[in-house]
Amino acid sequence: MNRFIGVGLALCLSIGVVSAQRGGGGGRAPSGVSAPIPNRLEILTMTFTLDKNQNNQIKAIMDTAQKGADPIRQQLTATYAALAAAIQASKPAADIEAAVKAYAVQATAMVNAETKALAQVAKTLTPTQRENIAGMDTAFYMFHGIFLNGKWNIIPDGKTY
Amino acid sequence: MFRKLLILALCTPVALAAQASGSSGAPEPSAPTTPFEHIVDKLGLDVKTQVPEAEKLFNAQARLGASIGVEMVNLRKKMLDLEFAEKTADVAPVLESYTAAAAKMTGLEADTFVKLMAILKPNQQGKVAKAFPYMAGFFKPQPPRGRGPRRGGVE
Repeated sequence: MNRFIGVGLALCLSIGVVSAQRGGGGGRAPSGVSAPIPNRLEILTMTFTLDKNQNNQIKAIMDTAQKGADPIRQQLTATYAALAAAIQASKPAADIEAAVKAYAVQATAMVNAETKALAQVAKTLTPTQRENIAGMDTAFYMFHGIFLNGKWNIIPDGKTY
Repeated sequence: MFRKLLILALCTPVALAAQASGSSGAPEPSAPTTPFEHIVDKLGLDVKTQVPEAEKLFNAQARLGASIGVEMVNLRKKMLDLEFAEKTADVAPVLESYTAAAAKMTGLEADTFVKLMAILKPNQQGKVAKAFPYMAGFFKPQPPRGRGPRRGGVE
């Protein structure tokens, strides 16, 4: 599993597309018409050359994982809002610390959900596909915050936690 | 008289074109894109006096956050390795470490805003709750180019 932790050198097509979307520059056809932006499953499919069966398996894994992550997502937002309110109200340091801890617990729960989902996805890959270090690295970073918008397959506009 | 009319005729299309494009000719402020710009926008910080102070504060805090961010990424990688290897019993202590690291990072984000409050005017202080969501993940290291979400913002 060291392949997970290696920093890949090659940037695959999907990375370029995601990058263009993030930066807001590029990702456009020369005519000025926006090029279609691939969703996350399409990125994984391109990155690992997934077959149809793998594609379906991953979709099922992620749909289930999204459902499991939704309550965490709501708590994540709620606890961060509570922290914001505590700061705005100039609450004592102990109150702010308690709000920080409450949020950290939810952040950990979300990371746990993401990690479990990614491990399941990785298991659907063949050993050869898992040797794609750059691809595994892409997936690792792509999965952070993947459940934040409630729709794992849609690339959000840069939200993280 | 003819000269005045000629000048008027030559200038009119320019003025109309400017109106049509919603521009007075002066450069328009661009919409906020980065989390910092969103924070500046939400709080209505004064560009000349408050933004430089805020930048200084955020830069100092970012230096403190860098190592915490790296620690969080490393813990996620460890979790993934354990999950993949189905060593689920070993995940619990890593999760505990992650919670501690996340608390440090969130504490830093909160501390940044507590310090920011000192340079805010009373009417700006009332806008903190709307600006703070853009702090989420602000100090986490950026993923290698194009490999993840841009930082900032849990709304």
